[in-house]
Parts: sequence; C-alpha cells; structure tokens
Amino acid sequence: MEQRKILYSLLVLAVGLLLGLLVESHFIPEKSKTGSAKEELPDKYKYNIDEYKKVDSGLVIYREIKVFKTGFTEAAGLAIDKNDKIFICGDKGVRVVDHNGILLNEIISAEKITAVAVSGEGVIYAAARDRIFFGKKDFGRDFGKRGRGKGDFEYITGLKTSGDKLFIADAGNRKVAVADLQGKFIADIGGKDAAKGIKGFIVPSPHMDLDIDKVGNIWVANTGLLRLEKYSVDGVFAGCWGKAGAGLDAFIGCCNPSNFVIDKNGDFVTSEKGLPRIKLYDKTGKLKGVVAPPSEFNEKCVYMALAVDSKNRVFALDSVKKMVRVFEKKQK
Amino acid sequence: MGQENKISRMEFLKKTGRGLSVLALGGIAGAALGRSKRKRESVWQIDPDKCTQCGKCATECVLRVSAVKCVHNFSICGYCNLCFGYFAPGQRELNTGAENQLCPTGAIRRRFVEEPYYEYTIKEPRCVGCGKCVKGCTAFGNGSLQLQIRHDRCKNCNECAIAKACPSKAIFRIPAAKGYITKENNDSKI
Repeated sequence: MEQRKILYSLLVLAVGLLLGLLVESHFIPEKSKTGSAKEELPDKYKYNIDEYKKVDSGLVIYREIKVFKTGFTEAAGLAIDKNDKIFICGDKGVRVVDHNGILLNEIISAEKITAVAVSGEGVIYAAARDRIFFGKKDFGRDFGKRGRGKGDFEYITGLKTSGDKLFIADAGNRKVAVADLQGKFIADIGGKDAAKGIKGFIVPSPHMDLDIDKVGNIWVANTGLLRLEKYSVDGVFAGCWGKAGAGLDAFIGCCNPSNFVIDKNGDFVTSEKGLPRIKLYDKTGKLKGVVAPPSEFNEKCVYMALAVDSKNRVFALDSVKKMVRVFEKKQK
Repeated sequence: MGQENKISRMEFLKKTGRGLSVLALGGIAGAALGRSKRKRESVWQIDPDKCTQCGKCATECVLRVSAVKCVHNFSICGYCNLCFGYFAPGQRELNTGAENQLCPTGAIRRRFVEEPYYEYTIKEPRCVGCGKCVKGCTAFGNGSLQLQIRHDRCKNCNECAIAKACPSKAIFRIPAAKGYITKENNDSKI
C-alpha cells in the first residue's frame, strides 16, 4: 500500500514536470521584452528615415568639386568676403584660407567662436557665444555681454554685415539684434507680439541663421516654424516662405533650415540637420534643385554653415568630416 | 562529576546542527548585507553622448521588460510643436492620433502648454527602452529625450547583459551617489 502511494506520487510529479517543461518551451519566450523572442527588435521599434533620404539624381543640380580641412575640431561658421577669402570659425578662433584651403591668417581665441562675418572693409566679426570680437588682423575690440536686455546676448549663431550695420542672430534670446559696425546697439528685430498675432522666432535648438538680400531685406531662419522670414531694415515683418514636411521641397524635423545663404542670383541655398541635405530655392521659395543629397553626408552632420563665393559656388561646412566642401552648378 | 558533563550523541548532533544553522543564517545575512552594500556603492548608467540607440537595451536586459527607459531632460527640451521624438516622419497631422505617433507603444504623452509649445512626458510603464524616440529627438532636436537605466527597476547585476552587448560601450558603473548622467552634466566625456 505504502509502495503504491509512493509510486502514484512519483507519477504525478513526473507528469507535472513534463507539463512544466512543455509550457516553458512553447509559451514562455526566452526573452519576451517586446513580445518577441528574437534578439533583433522588430522593425516597428526602429527609427527609419531611409525613405526620405532617396533623391532623384536628376534633381541634383550641383556637383562637389573640392574639399579641404577646416582645421578645427568643432567648426561652427563660415563666411566669404568680396575677394573670395574664406573665414572659418570654430573652437580655436578664426582661420582665413584661400579657395583651396591654404591658410592665410589665423586669429586664435580662448573661447569657441560660434559665428563669423566680414565687412566690406575687411573687418572680421566673431561671436564667442554672447560677445562679439572684431578687428582686421586680430580681435582688438569687443562688445556685448550675457543677458536678456537690449544689446545683450545669450547664444549668437549668425552674423552678417550690410552697409554700415551688423546683424546678429541670437538663438538664445530668439531675436536679431542690429548694431553699427563699432558695436553700438541700434534695434532688435523679431520679438513676439501676441496682440498682432506675431509668434516671434521659435528656436528649439541653437540654430538660427540670417542673411541680407540685394534690396537690403533681412531674412531670418525661423527654424521652429520651419520657414524663412523676411524683415525690412526697420524690423517690419514682410513675408515668409517654407513649409514643414518630409518631402524634398519642405523642411523636415522640429527646427530647420539650420543654415542658409542667399546666392548671387538671389536664390536661397538651405541646409538641414537630422536629414542632412543642401537644397536650392528660388526667390519665392520654390525648390529649384538639390545641391547635395543626404547620401553625401553622415547623418550626425549637424553644423552645415553655408557661404557663396563670387562665382556662385556653394561652400558648406561638414561638421562630421571637419571639412569645407565646395559645390558648383553642373553644366547643362 | 565526569558523568554529569557527558552528553548523549543525539544531543551533540542537535547542538552542532543548531550551531551550524545559526552560523549559516548569519553567513547568508552577512553575504546579503555585503552584496546590497556593494550594490549601493555603484550603479549602471548610460552615457547619453555615446549611446547610438541601437535597440540592444530593449532586448538584452535580463528583466522581461528592460530596466532601461526613455527619460526626458526638460531643461534642454525645445517644447516643439513638431517634435520628432513624438511624431513619426511623414505624419499626416500634428495631433495625438496613434497613426501620427512615433512610439510603437504610445509611451509619450503630448500636452499643450502655450502657442506654439507642447510638453512631452514619458509613460514609463509603457516604455520598452527601444530608443526610437531618442533617435528622432537626437537627430532633429536637442536630444532632450535620452535612454537611462532606471534604478528602481535595475537588478544591478554584477555583469550587466546590456553593457556586454552595447556596441558603443555606453554603459558603465558610476558611484551611486552621483545623479543620472544627462547631456548637460556629463563629466564622463573622454
């Protein structure tokens, strides 16, 4: 009797063991974090923008003709003067090079230079985040301080000169400041005015560029609204173009175009981050073609400052390769 | 006198057994205490500057649902209307419709703050730590969304399975007294 009891118990134990093994092997995946036993995540968990990287080769109307080193670990800005001298700014100051990248002059700074511009008289203006240094051969003078008041700056990301004025894009304060060439504050452009329905500059990330067209209008990248806005020299809003979207003619992401420049024909060359690409738009904002498709860049290329020389060639900063890349329009 | 001190074999075994049990209990308690102390001294964390959002955090953790979650560093968030950590590229409309959302588990909440700003918060129980939103935010925005090992969930294994699989060596031990590593306070940059 006792022996039979033990036998039954062992039998029940064996059945339970088998059932347990069966359930474990068939119904409990080894790794069930996302409902899958696979080591790879299912596609729905992967971020994929490959579809938007595709560009019809017929739309690429520029070709890369040259490339040279910036000489910086973290290059941030680019400018070209009337003699086609190239001014590159970055973590160690400003380097002046010729169109082949041969060093002509270098101005060392202790702070990282976040934007650079050069006046018609050859005075170099360099922004060190919240201060602007200027001089012809060195930075003998400076103006500005950190703050939110008039003439104060938080994070300067763009500089341009036009006539006797210096235009300063301050991404930190979300405004464009106008100063004379000696640094005397004149006015602010682009403040928020809820009563008039003016949203002001929406700048989610430190990317805010500006340029001046032939007529003297100030164009500013309102990156958070994914458009370029035009202001008169008095600071009156005069129009805008640009739309948000993943298509080639639109600006993708939360905050683009990260940089732009107006070329000699008055067309707009824009660069975008996230989906790095450089495009050409006409004066009204109609897409004319692609300067450089996303396949030309590393996806981590965030700083793509632009400048145009007298021959209308596009110079683009490549922050990943630490190079200046030169693009020329293809011959028809 | 000698007879009085004598103990029976059974009594001896009982006493020895009792002693050994107490010793073992003490040993176990001591080991557990020591282990917890060592665990408290250092914890696993992710270096957000090295993280490439490869997806291994979601698949390699020994827990059924990974201890890695998306965390939001509000101090550097742009509060974007068109947040690429929240919206799928090519979204039809900027609303909370599931078809417009990037997160496959709907783990991000979008809340209107003031025109044109929106706040995004993570519903942690839903987050699987895949890093899809982090990738979108890092590529297009400021990178305010980041993956981090949540210490209320982490088992603090001696050998972290995710750290072992991490292709960018972004996971390492840091003193527990230190706070979470963010892109702002990251002093572990080499």
